[in-house]
Amino acid sequence: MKFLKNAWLFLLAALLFYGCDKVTTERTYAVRLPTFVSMSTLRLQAEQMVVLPQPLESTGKIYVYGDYLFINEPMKGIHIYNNADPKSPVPLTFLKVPGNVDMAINAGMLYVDSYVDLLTFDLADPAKPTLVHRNEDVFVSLYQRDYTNAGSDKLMVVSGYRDTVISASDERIYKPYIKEVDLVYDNVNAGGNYGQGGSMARFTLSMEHLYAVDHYKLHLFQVSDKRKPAYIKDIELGWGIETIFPYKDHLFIGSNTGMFIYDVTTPGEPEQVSRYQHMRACDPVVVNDDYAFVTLRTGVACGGAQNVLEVVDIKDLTNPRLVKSYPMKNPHGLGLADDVLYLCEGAFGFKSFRVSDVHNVANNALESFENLVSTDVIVAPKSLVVIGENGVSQYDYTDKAQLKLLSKIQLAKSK
Amino acid sequence: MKRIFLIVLVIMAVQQLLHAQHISYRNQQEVGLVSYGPMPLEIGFAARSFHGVAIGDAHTLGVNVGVNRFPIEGKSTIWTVPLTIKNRYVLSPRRKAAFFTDLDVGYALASLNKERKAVPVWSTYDGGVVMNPQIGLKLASPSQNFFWTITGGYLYQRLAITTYSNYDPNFNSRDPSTVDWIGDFNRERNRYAVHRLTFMLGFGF
Repeated sequence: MKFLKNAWLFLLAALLFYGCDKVTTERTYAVRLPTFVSMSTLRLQAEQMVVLPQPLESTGKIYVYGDYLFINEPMKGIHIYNNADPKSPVPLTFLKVPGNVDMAINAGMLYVDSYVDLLTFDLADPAKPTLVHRNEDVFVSLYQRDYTNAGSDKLMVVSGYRDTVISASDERIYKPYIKEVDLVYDNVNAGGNYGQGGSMARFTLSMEHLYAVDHYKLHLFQVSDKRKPAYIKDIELGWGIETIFPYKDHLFIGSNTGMFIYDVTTPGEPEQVSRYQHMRACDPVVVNDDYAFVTLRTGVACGGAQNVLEVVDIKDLTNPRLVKSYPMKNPHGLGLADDVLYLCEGAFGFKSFRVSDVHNVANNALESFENLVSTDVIVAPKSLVVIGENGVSQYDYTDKAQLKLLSKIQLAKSK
Repeated sequence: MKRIFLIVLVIMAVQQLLHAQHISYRNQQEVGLVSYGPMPLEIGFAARSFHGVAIGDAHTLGVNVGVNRFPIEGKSTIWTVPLTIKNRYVLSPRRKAAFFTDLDVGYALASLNKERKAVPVWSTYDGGVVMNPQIGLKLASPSQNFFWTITGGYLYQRLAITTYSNYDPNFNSRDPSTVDWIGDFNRERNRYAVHRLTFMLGFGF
C-alpha cells in the first residue's frame, strides 16, 4: 500500500508539471557576403585603368557623347565604343574603374565615380582616356565603417561579393502555457563578416556644375575648370533618391517617395521649388515644357506596390499636380522624343506612346517590343539607345512610330 | 537501423517467453490524449495496441504499436508511429482493482507525415527514440478475463523536421541576383525533444 500511495502522489505531482518542446534549430544559409578593400589600395591600382576592349558581361548606365557610346558595367568600369555608325559600333577600350556606377561628360572630360572618389578623365583620345584628377572622399556614404574588422584602416568599401555557406544553430523551449521562447544559446559560424550594400550615385551636368545623387544626398561640384572639378557641398534630400534629370534651369530628382524640383538658376545654390509626392516606388523621370513623365515600379529596392506611368503637370513648377496615371507592368527608364515617349518595361519589353494628348496616352500606344528586356533608354542624335539585361540595342527612330533595329551589343554570356 | 531494432525486440520477447514459468497471451487497446499539461491546450491524441505475454502474476512483457498525433510549437502537427517494448508491473495482481506501472521504450517512426518534395520548398520528417513511463489503475471483470485501465504518464519523444528552401550548397543553379545578403535561407533542421503528459483509457484481456 505504501507503494500505491507513493505512486498516486507521483501521478498528482506529474499533473502539476507542464510539458514542453525543447527545440534545436540548425540553419544553413547560402548567402552572398561582401568582400572589402581599402580605398588606399584601390587608388594605388589607378595606373592600369585603360585596357583592351573586354566582353560585356553586365549592363548598367549608358551615356552618349558625340560619336561615342559609353556603357557602364556596374562596379567594374566603362566600355567605350566608337558609335559613328550606330549600325556597327566599334569597341575601343575598356576603362577599368572599380566601384563605378555612373558617369557624365563635359567638353571632353569624363567624370566617373569610383566608390567614394570622383575621377576625371581626358577624352582627347577616347581610346586612351587619361586620368587627370581625382577628388577623394566625396561620396563618403559608401564607406563601410561599422561592418569590418579592419582595425585602424577602417575606410573600406565593398569590392565584391562571394557566395558563402553559413551555419547557425540555436536552442529554445516552447511552452504553450507561457507564450515566450527561452533562448538557451545561440551559435553562428560565418565564413566572414558581412554588412550592408553601398548606394549608387547618379550624375548629371547642368550650368557648368556636376550634380550627383546617392540615396540621400545631392553632391554638388563646380566644373568650370573642367579638368579639375571642385567639390562645393552636399544637400540632404532624404532617403530613397534614385534619379536626376536636368531640364533647362531645373533639376528633377526622383526619389522613391516623390519627385523633387530644384531651381539651379544659381547653380551653386540649388533651391527646392516643390516636391511632388507619390506612393512609395522607384521613379525615373523625364520632362518637357509642360509635363513630367514619372514611372513608378515595384521591386525589392523600391518597396513599392504599384506599376504605373504618371503624367504630372509642371506648368506651375511650384505646384506640380497629377494629370493621369496609367497602369504598366514594371516600368523603368523612359525617354522623350518630341511627342513620343519611349518606355522600358524591364522584363516585359519596351513600348512607345504618342503623348501629345496626355489624357489619352494608353490609347495612343505606337509599338511594343515584348522580347526586348529594357531598363533605360537614351534618345541620342543618331539613334535610340536601349539598354537592358541582355545588352545594348540601337534603333533608327527617324520614323518615331516605327523603330528599326540598327545594331545590338550582346552580353558575352547571352551570345 | 529500424530493422535491427525490430529483430532485437522479437529476440528479447522470445527469450522472456522461454524463461517464464507461466505464459499466457495479453492484449490491450488504449486511446487517449497527449497534452502539455492538465490544461486543455494544444492537445493531441494517441492510440495503442499491445500484444504480449504475462510472465508470472505481476509482469507483462510485449510489443506496443500505436499512433500519436500532436502539435509541435503550436504551428504544425506531427504524426508518429511508436514501436515499443512494454513492460507492465501490476501491484497486487489478484485484486480486481490494482495499480500498475508501465514502461514503454522504443522508436517512433515519422513516415505518416506528408513530406513535401517540390521546388522551391522541401520538407522531410525523421522519427526518433520514444519513452513513455506510466502509472495506472486496472479494473478487472469478476472473472478476471477482461479489464479496463486508466493511466497517466510522461511521454518523451525525439523527432526532426527538415525544411529546404532553394537548397543548392554549390550555388550551381542559382541566379546570383536572387541571393540576398542576409535572407536567402536554405536549410533549417528543427530537432525536437518532446516532453508531454499522456492520459489513456484502455481495455484488454
